[in-house]
Amino acid sequence: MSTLEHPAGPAAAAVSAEDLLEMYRRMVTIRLFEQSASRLYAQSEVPGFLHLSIGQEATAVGACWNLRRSDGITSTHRGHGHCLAKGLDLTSMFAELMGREGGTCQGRGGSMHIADPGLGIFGANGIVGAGLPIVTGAATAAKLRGDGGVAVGFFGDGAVAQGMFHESVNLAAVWDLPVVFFCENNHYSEFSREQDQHRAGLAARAAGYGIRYEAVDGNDVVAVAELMGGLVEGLRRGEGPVLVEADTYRWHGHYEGDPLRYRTSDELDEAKLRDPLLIARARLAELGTPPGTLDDVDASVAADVEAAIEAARRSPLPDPATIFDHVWVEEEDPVEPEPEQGERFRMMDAVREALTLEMERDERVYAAGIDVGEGGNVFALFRGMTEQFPGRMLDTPISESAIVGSAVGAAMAGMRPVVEIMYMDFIGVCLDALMNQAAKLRFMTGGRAALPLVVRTQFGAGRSSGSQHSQSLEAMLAHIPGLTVVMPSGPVEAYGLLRAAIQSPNPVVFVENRLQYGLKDARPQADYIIPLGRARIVRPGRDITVVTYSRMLQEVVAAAEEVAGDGIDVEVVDLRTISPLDRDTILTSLKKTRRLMVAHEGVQDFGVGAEIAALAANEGFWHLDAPVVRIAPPAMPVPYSPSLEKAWLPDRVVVADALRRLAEVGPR
Amino acid sequence: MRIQRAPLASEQPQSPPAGYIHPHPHEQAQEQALSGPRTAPAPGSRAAAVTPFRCEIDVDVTRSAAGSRRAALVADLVVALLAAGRREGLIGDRNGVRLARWSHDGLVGEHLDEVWLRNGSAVAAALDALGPGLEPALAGTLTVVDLGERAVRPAGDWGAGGWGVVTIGPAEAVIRPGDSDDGMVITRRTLVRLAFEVADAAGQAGAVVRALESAASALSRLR
Repeated sequence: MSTLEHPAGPAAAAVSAEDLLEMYRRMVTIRLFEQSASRLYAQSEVPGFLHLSIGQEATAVGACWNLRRSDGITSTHRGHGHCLAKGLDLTSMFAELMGREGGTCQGRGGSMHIADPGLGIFGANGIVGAGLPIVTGAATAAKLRGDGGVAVGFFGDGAVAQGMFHESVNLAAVWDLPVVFFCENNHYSEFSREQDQHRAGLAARAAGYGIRYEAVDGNDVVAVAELMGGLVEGLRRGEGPVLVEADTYRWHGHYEGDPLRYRTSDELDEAKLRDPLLIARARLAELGTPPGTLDDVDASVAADVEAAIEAARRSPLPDPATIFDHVWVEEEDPVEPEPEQGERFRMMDAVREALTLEMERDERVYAAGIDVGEGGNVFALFRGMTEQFPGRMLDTPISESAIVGSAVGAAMAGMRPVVEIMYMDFIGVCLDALMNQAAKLRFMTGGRAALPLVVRTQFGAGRSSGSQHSQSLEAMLAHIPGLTVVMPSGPVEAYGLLRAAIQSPNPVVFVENRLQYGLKDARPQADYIIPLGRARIVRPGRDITVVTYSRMLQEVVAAAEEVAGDGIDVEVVDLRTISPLDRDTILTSLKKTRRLMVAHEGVQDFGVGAEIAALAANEGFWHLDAPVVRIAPPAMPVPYSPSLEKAWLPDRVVVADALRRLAEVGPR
Repeated sequence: MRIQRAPLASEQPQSPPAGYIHPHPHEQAQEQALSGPRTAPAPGSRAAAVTPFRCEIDVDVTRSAAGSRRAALVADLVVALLAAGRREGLIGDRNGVRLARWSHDGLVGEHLDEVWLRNGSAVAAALDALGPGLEPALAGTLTVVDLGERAVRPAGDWGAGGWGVVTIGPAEAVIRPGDSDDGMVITRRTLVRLAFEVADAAGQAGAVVRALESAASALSRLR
């Protein structure tokens, strides 16, 4: 056996002996896979961590029994059973655990990160609860497409304490999404007992969210499959989300090697009396299936498992030369046209017009965020767009993790979400969705997952917005491989770059400066687009290169004009894309001017300027005639008081003074 | 979008671009004196103030000079000084060495490649074979001038250009008091004045002093 078949099973109908025998075969497959994985791990053939689901086979098989290939699931760190139940083949899974090229994810993910979006498997996940925002996104995609698709998010009882659980279930409830939040309650959160983790049960929680709740014996595959059959049918008809709690038990420890000091052997022995395989065998016996038939299934699966292990062993380890594969989608850039000089328009118009054009071009594009829909965005960027794009401008609760996490799931499910984090400072609330999910999933799935999503946000100091509404956090984001970080410096750039960001196959964080929303420039032609990852020379010069971006560009250009009167000819480089960095443009300019300054609004220490200074020291050392100068605010929270904020934020006067001093340094 | 990746650890440090000459401050000043600034002048900047540094030492060459030709004595001094200069980081692969001597027509001499790889005999042979004329100094050139037996004490760098000039004066016999097992004695010693001038004192004066001391010490041990 290598691939499991997935018939569209009966909805809430009595399970036939034939179907139950197939369920039994799938459960045996999971059991033997897990037991073999345990053995391979002990033999060091499987590296890393291993979390096994022995004892929980019925939940995986029963929950997936009624799903179509295109229906989505998300899994957990204990996810082998879910993947097998949804149709992944044994050989690729064993190879993945072994870190081999023939693995499901080419050995890039391992046990905790197996995924195959082509089969609707949107990933096991190493972060507890992180699959729930993603499955919400998969359900969003299904609802937007209106194709009757559903999604199932597996989670353990430990994940209930995560904020992501709350945000995801609440968002699904508000949006009436076709999703089952399927709790495999094995009564332990890693080492801790369920009753020590939370006080309210899931039934009470479901009531709190205003959604349906169902409990089921998670060791009885028939009970699970019959329940899920009815629920899935309802979801396909348009019913809203359901919270299912399946009572089960894991036989092994939290991880392989767990000393299991937190439970007794008696407790385990009692749980084994409710072995899902024994229950299924008993049901099959009631239906007249002879024991020999079941023994034949056991033997057949055992042979399949051994054959799969041998095949996996024959797969080579990944070639180190391929180490950078799948971090980003790399492709040829579109040609950057010269912008036409149309009527003057504002930067806020540029953002709206770029999004509008992309939503007209591509039905997969939708926008979501706090007050993005009816509210038209807190800065009124999208006012009127809900009427133009009904159902595609979505208001969300104040739930940043769900907003970005659902975008990840929707992108993996084939959509192109453009979601909004109202202030860049709030990135901290949803950092997991950006850092561990959006940025890494393409790599960890060996390129199987596509993450074409845009997270728009804005920042801006200078208006006494305080320490939590002013920060320029691009350095933090640029430090995360896999994320593209874009910061336009004006209306034309905002238009061309946002269009490119929405069309990009990579996850993009698009950072606007709200102080520029009223900034005007000549409107370019409608099809104007700017390739990502390319800086531009805004002002050619001979003596000093200044690298900058976003609103600081205007300050730098003003300073450059001022010092030109002193005979200092400044070349200004607008990065436009912070990461990946356009190293060539910076180095080429440095070779010409031999002096380098970097100016930005993010605090100086460990900032983008530090990376560019390192670039100059590493690769431009031979061309430097003077120390690199960094113009940036000091490393401290953004002050509130206008007098302090003015002292904190560099402006054109500070830049001009530094330019004059820099011009004095070096060879005469 | 194409990713421009930073160099891997195995690719660092980066090599200088082809034709690149490391702009040490002293080389830079000399280079500009000879051929103009390497880069555009700093806009709005004032004229540079480069201060030369000169240092001299009397080297006791009594043992080395005994029975030796002048060329052999000069060669020993050159070898000892170049070795000391390399140890002090003053002289490296980037530096060329030009051997020269005074003649009626002025300085004559020529560049020698990798002089520090040559022994005293090879350097002496090169001194014997110096042709007419003097090749111009390149950036980083150290010129060694053999003053011969002339008793003058030149100040400055002869206008030779380059990074620095070493002048080797005449051998002079002197009477020196000394100690022996029998008490104080008067001895006859042979000294050669060794002068070392660099165009820019910044960051180099100490190394010049140490190199001269080291070379003098090495010569005094020669047998």
